[in-house]
Amino acid sequence: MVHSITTMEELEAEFEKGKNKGKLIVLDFFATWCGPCLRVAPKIDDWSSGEFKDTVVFLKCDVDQGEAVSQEFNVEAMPTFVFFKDGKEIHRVVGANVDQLKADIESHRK
Amino acid sequence: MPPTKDADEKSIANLVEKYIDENDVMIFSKSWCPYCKKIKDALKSAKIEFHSIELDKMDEGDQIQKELFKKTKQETVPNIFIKQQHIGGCDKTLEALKSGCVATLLNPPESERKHKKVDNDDLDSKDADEKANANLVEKYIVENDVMIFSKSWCPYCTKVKDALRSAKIEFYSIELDKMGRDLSLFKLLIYIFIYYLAEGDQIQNALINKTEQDTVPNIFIKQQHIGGCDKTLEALKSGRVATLLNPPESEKKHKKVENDDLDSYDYDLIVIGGGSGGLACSKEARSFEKKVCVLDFVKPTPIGTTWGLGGTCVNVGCIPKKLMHQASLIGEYVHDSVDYGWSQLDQARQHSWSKMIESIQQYIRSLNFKYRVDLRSKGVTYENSYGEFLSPHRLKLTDKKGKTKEITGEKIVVAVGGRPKYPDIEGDQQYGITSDDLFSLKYDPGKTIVVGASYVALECAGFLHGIGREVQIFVRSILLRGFDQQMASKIGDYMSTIGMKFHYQRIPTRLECLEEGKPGKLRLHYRQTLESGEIEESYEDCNTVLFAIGREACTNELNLDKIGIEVNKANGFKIKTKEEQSIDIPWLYAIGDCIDEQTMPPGQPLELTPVAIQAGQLLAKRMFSNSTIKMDYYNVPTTVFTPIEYGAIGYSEEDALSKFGEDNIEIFHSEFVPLEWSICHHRDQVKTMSYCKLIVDKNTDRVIGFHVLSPNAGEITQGYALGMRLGATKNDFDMTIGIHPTCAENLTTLSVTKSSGDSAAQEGC
Repeated sequence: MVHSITTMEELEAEFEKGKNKGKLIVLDFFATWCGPCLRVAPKIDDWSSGEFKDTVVFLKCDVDQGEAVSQEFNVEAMPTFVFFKDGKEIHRVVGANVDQLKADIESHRK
Repeated sequence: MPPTKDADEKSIANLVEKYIDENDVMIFSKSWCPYCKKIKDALKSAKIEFHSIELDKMDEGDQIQKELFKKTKQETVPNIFIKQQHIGGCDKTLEALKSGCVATLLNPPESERKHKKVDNDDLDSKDADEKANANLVEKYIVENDVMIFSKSWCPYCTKVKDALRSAKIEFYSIELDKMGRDLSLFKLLIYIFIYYLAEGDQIQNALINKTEQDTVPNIFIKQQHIGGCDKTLEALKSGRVATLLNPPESEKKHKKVENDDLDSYDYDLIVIGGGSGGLACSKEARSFEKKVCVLDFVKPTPIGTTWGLGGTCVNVGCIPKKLMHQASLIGEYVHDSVDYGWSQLDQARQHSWSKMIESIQQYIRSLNFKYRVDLRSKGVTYENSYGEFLSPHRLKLTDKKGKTKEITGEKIVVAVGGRPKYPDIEGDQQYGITSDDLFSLKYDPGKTIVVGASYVALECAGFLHGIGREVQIFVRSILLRGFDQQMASKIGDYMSTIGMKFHYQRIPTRLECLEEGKPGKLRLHYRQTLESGEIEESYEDCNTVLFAIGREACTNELNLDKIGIEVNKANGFKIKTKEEQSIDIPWLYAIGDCIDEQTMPPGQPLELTPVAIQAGQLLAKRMFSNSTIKMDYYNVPTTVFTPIEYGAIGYSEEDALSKFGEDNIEIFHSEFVPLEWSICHHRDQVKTMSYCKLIVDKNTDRVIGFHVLSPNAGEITQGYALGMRLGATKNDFDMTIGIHPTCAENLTTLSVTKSSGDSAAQEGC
């Protein structure tokens, strides 16, 4: 299950959630008109209910709906995946390289 | 012996200096150059000794030519110096010979001081020097009503000074050739705040930066850049000089009015409209570190269509149009494919409107996003709000939620563009659509009636037909008003031949909806004037009616009346400007489709993205730096992307005839067959319809009109636009070797003239 957020408040709320504490949070900035985003989204869906179900929190943000959030994080190209630990950005991946993304999730999960 | 890489620039520079210093008359020449021979012959006849070197026969010839360009900004030969003065090429030297300047230079009367070139290789203070010279130039221009930057030996300078004296107009001139370190104490006192004493050459450079003019005389009147001798004489003749020196009462309004100004402003510049012009202007202004705000807001169409940042071109103009044109061309290539050996493509041919719209809209939305990011990264404040004037310098902004706020701007640029017109008949807005709706239409338009004969109408009809929809075109009178009519009628012929139905003298009177749906069934009632003169009233049924009868500027709801500007329907609600500044209000500027600009060629609307972009950029430079470079609206290349494309630069045949007269122009033309079509049976009936013509001014051999009807005319025309800009003659076109096999090469081999009456059809290869 990939939860959608559109405001900074909603994002903060996700950081505060008990069950999310200590976990790696991956936020997918996408656009409905972006081809690569549409291709990578199903993979993320799979991971969120499959292999990374209990260890990683997946969120998504539509840049047209959540303009303020995307501006806050200076998102200029989609997809951009921003990694958070304890409410702070620790890493980001730009582009739809699924293998790279998976590898980075593995390594930052701890 | 090959040139040594070690022959460094400094030694070449020294070599060039040596030649110039050691010879009273020095000609840098090439042995095969006819102009070099011409000037040498002339000097020989005048019994004037000279020294020349043939650059083509020297190892360092190329490097010397480069050094000469650095030194004189002239890259051609002959490049001639007399007594260390740079004269120029063959023409300039012949003039100088004729006018006696050469004689004067070689034998100056006792009283004249000799000017020695002063070394200036102090590169560290180059920037400070540039600024100091720019300031000095400004001072001269501001302090003198009529300011002439001149050279003492220059005959044109003398000519214009004589003319001004005859007209009893006082002027101040400085002789750039005589400026050096030995300025008189008097001048020292006057310009005492500039501690660096200027060199004539550097002043000339500062003038080039400011005006793009590298010649003398360079003349300013009341701080307006006029130009050289010819332009000033014209301005004298036309009364413009008199008007500038003594503006009538109403024009004095153009001076800053006390009560309009505010103490401070939120922004240095507010741009109303985030389209091609507005975005370009705002970003350019940021390069001068001004505080800039862009307002963009799209009022939805009657059926609710709206779009994002970027203006008409990106959302509902050039971009989607060209993509749909491409879609239709692909359909044609599929037909062609059979003769090229492909099988079954033709039979399997199918077009999905929704798939095409999806691809195009995805791309457009990525552009909208890119523009928002671009503005942000350049530091332009972007407000997605509708702006209206409340009072001078003050705007009310309303966002899509209805929230309002006020902002003020010291300078405001209106770049609101235009929107399609409706014919003002019953049902038009309710059941009809325009180009604003077509490019994002969520349902297949089906059988379509296009009302109008503008380029928008013909382009849309063209691609709709090309993707397999049935198209009829209702034309009130002629096709492509304002364009070359021979070319317009050829476009009409092509489109009819490939199956589009044109109905002339047909005017819609009422639009009725027979059945709702996506698309529904519509009935368009019309009035038709038959050949007999009778008027017939009838109707045509269809699925979609597309109105493309022209566009109007979106200035009506800006409350321009609150700042004293009137717009009216007669000129499409456009704002009257001169050099993109409002003729009524000095702090109000306008660019792009919404302007009625005095310096544009009459009768030729230049509602084009590249025009708006360049005008916006040059305007920003003039507003925030000391640039005086104006937008040049002449020889703007255009292309109509009808199924057979039409590219044009310069005069139409009608305009050329009326301006120059039949006896003064020659028209060269040719039909041709695009090679790629020659083997396609499906193109049999239209194969020979490609055509091109050049309109030539007989007196100068200059090409003043370029027209090509052909596949890829857009790509072809862009290249030739550069030649037109540089003043290409018919001989230049002829001497340019063509690339074979292309359509473009046909412009280099035109020999048949219209006046000869010979056939323009092409024979063989």
